[in-house]
Amino acid sequence: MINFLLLSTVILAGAAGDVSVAHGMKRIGEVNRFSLIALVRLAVRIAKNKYIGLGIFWKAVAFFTFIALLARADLSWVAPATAISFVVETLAARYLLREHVSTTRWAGASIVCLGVALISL
Amino acid sequence: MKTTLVLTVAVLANSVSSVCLSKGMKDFPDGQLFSASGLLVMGKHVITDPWMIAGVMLLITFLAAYLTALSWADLSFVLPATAPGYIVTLLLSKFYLGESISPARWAGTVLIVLGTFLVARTYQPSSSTLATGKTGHEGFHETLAKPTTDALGDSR
Repeated sequence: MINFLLLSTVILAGAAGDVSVAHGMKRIGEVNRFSLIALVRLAVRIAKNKYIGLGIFWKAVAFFTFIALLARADLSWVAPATAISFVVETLAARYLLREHVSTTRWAGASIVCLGVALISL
Repeated sequence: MKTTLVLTVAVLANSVSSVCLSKGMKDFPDGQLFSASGLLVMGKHVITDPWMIAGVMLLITFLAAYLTALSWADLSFVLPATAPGYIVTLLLSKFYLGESISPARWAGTVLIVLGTFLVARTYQPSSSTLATGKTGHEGFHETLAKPTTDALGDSR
């Protein structure tokens, strides 16, 4: 039970990190200048961006939860179990973002779900 | 060819990284996991234990290879191409970590790989969402590159 809680934290914190970092990088804009000065300026802007800071925080939460889970459970369960993120993404796309989710994607997410149930037996 | 090489590096780095982290955490005292001081101890463990250092280095290698591949290949190609990594990790768990893997676990993992193939088919190649989303794919394993994220980013 605790392992499933830890797994949920890994998935949700990881997703929160992705969303924050992606949002922060979009505010910074496309990277198309690669001179040393431009790269240093870019690094400073990234370091100052609060969405990226928040993203790194969530990524750290996900990483530490992931290794805590590895301390408690077999890798042969933890590694495939993280694929449940496909199911979470599909549900988020449909119910949070109200996107159209195709039958193929529902089928894929259901099969992943079934797989995670099987490895957890 | 170039893509095959980089994705092979990504898959191997990711699987071996998980094995190292798993090995590094195996003798970590369970009671320390959920205490306030435990987090500090864990943080120190990550930067001092050779297995943890190796695991983090390999994770960085994975990320670099994965993001490089995504900079020229579509997620709809990269995702199914790296999905067999689940099987690689399972093989390493069995033969290197000595975990016993039930038939149900093998079957479940094969289903997960198949499910990933199906989900990947729904990501349209070369859509603008995927192209602009590349910078957001910071994460620590292959499931982290996701259009959901990009779409969320776009909607703000």
